[in-house]
Amino acid sequence: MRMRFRAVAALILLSPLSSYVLVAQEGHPLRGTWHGSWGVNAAERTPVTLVMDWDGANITGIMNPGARSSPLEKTSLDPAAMWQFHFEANYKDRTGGTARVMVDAKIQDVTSPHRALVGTWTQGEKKGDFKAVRDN
Amino acid sequence: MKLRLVFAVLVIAATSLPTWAHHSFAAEYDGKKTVKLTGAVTKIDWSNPHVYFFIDVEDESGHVANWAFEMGAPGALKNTGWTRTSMKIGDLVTVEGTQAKDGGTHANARAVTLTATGQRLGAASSQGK
Amino acid sequence: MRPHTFILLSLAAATTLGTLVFAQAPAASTPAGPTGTRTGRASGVRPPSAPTPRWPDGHPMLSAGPGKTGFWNSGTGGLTGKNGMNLPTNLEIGEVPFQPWAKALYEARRADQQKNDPHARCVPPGGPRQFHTPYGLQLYELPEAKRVLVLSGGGPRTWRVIYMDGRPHPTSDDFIPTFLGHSVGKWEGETLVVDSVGFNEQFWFARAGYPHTESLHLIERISRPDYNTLKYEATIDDPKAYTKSWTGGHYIYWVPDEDFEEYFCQDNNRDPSHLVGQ
Repeated sequence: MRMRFRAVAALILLSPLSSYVLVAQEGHPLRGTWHGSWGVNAAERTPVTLVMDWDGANITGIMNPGARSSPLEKTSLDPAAMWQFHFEANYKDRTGGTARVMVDAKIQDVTSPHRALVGTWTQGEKKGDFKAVRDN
Repeated sequence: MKLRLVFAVLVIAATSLPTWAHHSFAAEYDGKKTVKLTGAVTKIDWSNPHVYFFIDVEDESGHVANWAFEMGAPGALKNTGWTRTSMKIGDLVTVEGTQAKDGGTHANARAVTLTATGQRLGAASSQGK
Repeated sequence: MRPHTFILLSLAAATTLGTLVFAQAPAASTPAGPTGTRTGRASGVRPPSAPTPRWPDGHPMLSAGPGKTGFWNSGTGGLTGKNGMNLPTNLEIGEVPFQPWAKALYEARRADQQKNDPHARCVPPGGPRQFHTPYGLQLYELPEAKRVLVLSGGGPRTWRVIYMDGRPHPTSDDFIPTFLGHSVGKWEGETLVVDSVGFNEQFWFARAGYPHTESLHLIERISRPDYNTLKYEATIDDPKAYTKSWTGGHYIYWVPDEDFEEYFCQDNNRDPSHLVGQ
């Protein structure tokens, strides 16, 4: 019976972003929903939403949930290197265009429920700063 | 027959009463300020005392606002047809509700329509029916 | 009398007196240690320990014996290290089989003095945390209800239910992970073995801040070697945070003739805004 619960739980947790609650704030630091933006300067910002999960071996997730969402690819996290995090994705704009995104960021204040990802965002030809804060 | 009538009256009376919450609805939400918003689900807190879910609402200029919606407790939602997997992160939904008095992007949900299926589910709001 | 003779006689007297005092100490099979009080501070030598109280069928009673009062002093102890109240079989922290992210997170929590421990915000103490939350613990077995209740004297007025009726863990998709998990227990000889799953990730399962995930499968072994001593041991089985399961625990001592006072963590909790860490 115990195995059935664990099997069910595993199935839910391994499904890419099922409705399973991602309230978690004391588990894997990247689990959860993050809101923020990127831009080449302080004035020109593009909103970013990330929803991420930890399956025990890999970080999975999507960028910008909804009609223009795309899965996170090539994710990696180095906790020993100040929590250096990398991911790539395909950004989809409102006109139907796409651009390849590459992000390198560190987790700031990792023990806090309000931890942040801060780093650089490269999208097509452009490169700018990126910051997102974990939702509570 | 009389017993059935009495029972029916009791049932109607019970279901028309507001669901008792651990706080006053009117202290937090303005029943006259209704909202109807469509967006993508970004987070679901399936927990007590209220289930909360959050959606990104994008306007024409590309600005994104993240709205928080309060529903009833998980047990109450089960009685109105919800399961934990009724709504998933990334789903497009339309939410009808009433806005919080302290402003901001926070409201009490009365009904949620799942865009993919058209299913409309009551939110077991503490405002009552 | 010459001074050095006086000194020698005084030393002899002191030694004799000390021998008489330590003859009252508890049996060698239980660790020596101070008697706790409601506040968790030591108050001197432990009284001699009576045998484990028992139910009519002979299995150990985890609460006060008939006609008696008291509670378990839960303020100290941990899952790693061998000092103080801890078990001699505990791992040292360097031996805990953390996954890299969990090790780094544990070290970050230690570095900032656990300032973001959610326990300070009156979050319920799940798992082993309940057994070292200060202000006491009661374990009441209710045979007619086939449950064991674990009541906390501190924290946000927590009680945990251990089902003793043979039920399985839930399998429904609608099961919500909780702070205290879903616990089922059974007696294996002198030991209550408790199996728990279904924890959320909103608390720390130990004061030291070892991380866990919703995959945590906790097995606890609780025994009462003598009236004054509870032995608590937890096995942490969480493959998303640890590369293999590991075990640790501590002793908890009985405080006789006293009981909890009312305590709600949420009452006048002014600390959170002042927890600055380093």
